Amino acid sequence: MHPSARVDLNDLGSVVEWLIAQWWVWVIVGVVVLFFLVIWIMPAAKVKPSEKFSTDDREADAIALGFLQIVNMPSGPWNDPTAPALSANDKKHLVEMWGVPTRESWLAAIDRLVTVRRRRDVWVTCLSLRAELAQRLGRVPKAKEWIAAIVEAGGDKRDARGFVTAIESVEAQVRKLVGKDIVTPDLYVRTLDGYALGQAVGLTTWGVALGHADVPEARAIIRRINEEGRPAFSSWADFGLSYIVGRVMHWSDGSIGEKTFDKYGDGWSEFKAAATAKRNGPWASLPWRIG
Amino acid sequence: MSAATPSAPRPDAEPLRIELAPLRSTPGIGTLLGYERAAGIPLHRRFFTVLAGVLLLTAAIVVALWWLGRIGMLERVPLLAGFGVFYGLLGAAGFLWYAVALSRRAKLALFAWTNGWAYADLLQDTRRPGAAFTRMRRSMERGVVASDDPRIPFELGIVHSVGSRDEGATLQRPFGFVELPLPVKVPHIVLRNRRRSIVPTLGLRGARMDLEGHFATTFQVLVPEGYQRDALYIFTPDLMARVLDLGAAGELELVEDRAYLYLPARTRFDAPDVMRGIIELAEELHRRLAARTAAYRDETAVPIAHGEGVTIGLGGQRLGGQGVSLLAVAATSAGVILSAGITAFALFGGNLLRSFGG
Repeated sequence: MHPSARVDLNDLGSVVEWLIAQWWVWVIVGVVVLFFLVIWIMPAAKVKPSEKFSTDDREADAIALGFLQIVNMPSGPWNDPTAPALSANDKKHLVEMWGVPTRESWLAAIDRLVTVRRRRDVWVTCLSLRAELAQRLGRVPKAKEWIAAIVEAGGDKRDARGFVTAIESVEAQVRKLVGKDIVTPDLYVRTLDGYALGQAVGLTTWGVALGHADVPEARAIIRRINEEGRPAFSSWADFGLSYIVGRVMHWSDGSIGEKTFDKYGDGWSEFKAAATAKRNGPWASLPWRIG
Repeated sequence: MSAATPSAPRPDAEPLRIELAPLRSTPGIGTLLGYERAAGIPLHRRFFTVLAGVLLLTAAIVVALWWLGRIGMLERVPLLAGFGVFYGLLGAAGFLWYAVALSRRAKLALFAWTNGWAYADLLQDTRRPGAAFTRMRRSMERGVVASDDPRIPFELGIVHSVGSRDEGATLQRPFGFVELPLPVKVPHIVLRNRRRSIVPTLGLRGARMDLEGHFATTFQVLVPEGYQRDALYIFTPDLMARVLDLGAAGELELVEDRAYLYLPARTRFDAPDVMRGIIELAEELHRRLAARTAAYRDETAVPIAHGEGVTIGLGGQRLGGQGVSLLAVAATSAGVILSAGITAFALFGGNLLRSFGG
């Protein structure tokens, strides 16, 4: 008699007993367990810098502001201002996407990112109100308090609720995924400028690959971006949070759905890598304040 | 709001000359192909690729009908021939529609390049601050002409709301637009066309004002509460008289440091007379709006931390709400009524029919 003939398909216990008795079932279970164990035990990938360029001086500190943009593209090691990983197709795509076929248009695009910073007045005002309120209260304001402050300043209550919920939900997602040890509970979004500033540094390095400038000029531009951008932030984590939330808010127009964070907030893993010392993350070793 | 009277911008020494000749000639096949290359149109959307696709479809339909006829299927189900002819005609009509639109955009591109302006065949997610743009999840702009001439800096094109793989398109009729920069930021003001509104204003909060004379019969002004005086300061009678020239065709919106002239999607930017009229109107609106807004200050705005460039108080930056499209309301209502009707008929239809039959 065939062994499967002993299984009574109407009796779940009989089916389970039969499965337990099969060697190939244990092989499948073993492979699955081993797979998850390996993933769990395996250390996360380390951040690899370029050996041709420094990783611990002022220049490295300045270019590290573009870490998330450079790594997310990816256009090469984070400390390489020449964006060596860009293929001919990547370059063509970048020129089209950013509208930078000439040196002048490239410089104008960087200037726009540094000055205009993808800002929307309503968002800037609401975030400033949050910062002012936090300073007054000595803690991160609750959603209700923040909404009340917006309404008091003349904002629309329903729109305010939508914006506050969007910011707080993205903020919470970043904190959960990157870790509370990096994005500490007292850290909150005060500006979304981080995204545009990170992009400005990335675009500067891509300009070198496109032949619009040489390395010394790119370094000078990156220094200027740092000088103008850094004072608004208190730490690398503050900047990283602003970058990710800014990216999500920009591309979603502030309308956060179930899949929005998966779509636009994917930079969280690079943020975690950049801020983790064990993974050789530059943000963990380089000081936020330069000189 | 500042009480200072702004001075009109100094007229430029050289008058503006617009070359309309490219809009008067019909582009040949060589011009079309050149345009496709210059505008960077991808291969799958080029003239000969689409033509080959349509011819292949026609050939496939002919072969299928011939084969169906041979096996005697057409005699038994003659409706199949109808389907074949229908899809063939649909393909031909689609190609004609595509070719006409391509030819129009080629004319527009030649016009832009001749005048030293920039041109883009397609732009996506430009994130312009206008209310009609911000409510769309994804937008696609076709035939965009952009001038950075300081005498008439503008961008114009036709906008479509499109869906993505993950989400459907926002219900919004396509529309034409002309974007004009303003020297300073101003409160959000929408001049809603009473007869044919393009910007969905249903559900937008704020004050609704009826201005004087003929203006009130054509336009209604929407402005954030507390900014009514500011609207009157900007829209002086002479400016309103010029806006009236838009007549039943368009609407106007001021938001941040931009003015938007909205026009119906059927606006033929490639027609010389239409383009001349739009450029003249845009030039005059730009000049008058610049003169009127240059000295504008929102005195209720308070300085805020990290708020460089924010010069309008929070209440005046945007009209509250998103604005609902009448098309969406009509479509939803029709859907609800239809499904209610079907349900009612399914439940009581038999009795109803019997009652008619006596």
